[in-house]
Amino acid sequence: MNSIHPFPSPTSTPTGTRASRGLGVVVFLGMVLLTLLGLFFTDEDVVQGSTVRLMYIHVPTAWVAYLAFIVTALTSAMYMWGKQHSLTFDRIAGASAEVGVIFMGLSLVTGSLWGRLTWGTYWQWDPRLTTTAFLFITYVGYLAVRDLGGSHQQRAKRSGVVALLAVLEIPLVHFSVVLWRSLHQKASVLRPNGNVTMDGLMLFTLLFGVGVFTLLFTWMVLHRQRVLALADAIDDGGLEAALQERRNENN
Amino acid sequence: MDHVQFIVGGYVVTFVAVGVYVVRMLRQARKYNSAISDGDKPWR
Repeated sequence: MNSIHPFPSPTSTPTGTRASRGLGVVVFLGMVLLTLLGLFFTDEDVVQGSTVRLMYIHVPTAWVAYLAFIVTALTSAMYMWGKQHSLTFDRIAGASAEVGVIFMGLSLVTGSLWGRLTWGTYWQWDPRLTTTAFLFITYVGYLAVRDLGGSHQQRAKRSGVVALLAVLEIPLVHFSVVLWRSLHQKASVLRPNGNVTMDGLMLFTLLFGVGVFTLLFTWMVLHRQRVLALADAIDDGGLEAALQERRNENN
Repeated sequence: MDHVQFIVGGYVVTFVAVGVYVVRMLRQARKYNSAISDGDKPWR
């Protein structure tokens, strides 16, 4: 008899492979190292003091959310314009959007905590914050559109159109600090003049965080799209059983 | 370190949220797995 444990071991999950298990171990160790670097080993900032430690998770979560939504758009396009209209692309799009929503939400929460310490408030209707919240809500909507029902192909086409439109919001969010007057600081690393004014270990920790969170995103999407494949196979099986039952009734 | 509750809270919220999502996902995988043959798992 199969039992579902409250905390299943990632090493024995049905969606795991040898490669994904190896990736999972690397991600776990990377997260431990990032936490140690972010909380203990890096220096405090001259201006922001210890609050800069929130940067090492706030920036990577925002980066992963952007990446996730871009992957959703690209794989949606690959489904729509690919010769075989492979549902694997649609499932990667759905998995990536789901993970992106989690990280966008976390970026809003960690940004809100950081804002409380530096600006004195958890929330302001500032251009960057407002456009980010709008992006978050848009992708919650995308996930709702995926759940509207119909065949897998209908789901893929419908959500693919939404994904290709929604991704256009990302440049608006990213450049909102340049286009409008914003409380949020401008880019610290990806500056147009290429001049990075950040201490060596701080910069390393930030880039390391971005790398580790990108690997975490890869691991999560890999597993999630396989879970979605299992769910689709169950749906197909249920549909086939219903059709067979109808055929038997007619005979 | 100043503002420990905000800073550590940010890390804790992040890791707990990701952990809850991952545990739910893996539980769902186990649940679906029993109903599906290995032929429907191309990664196997």
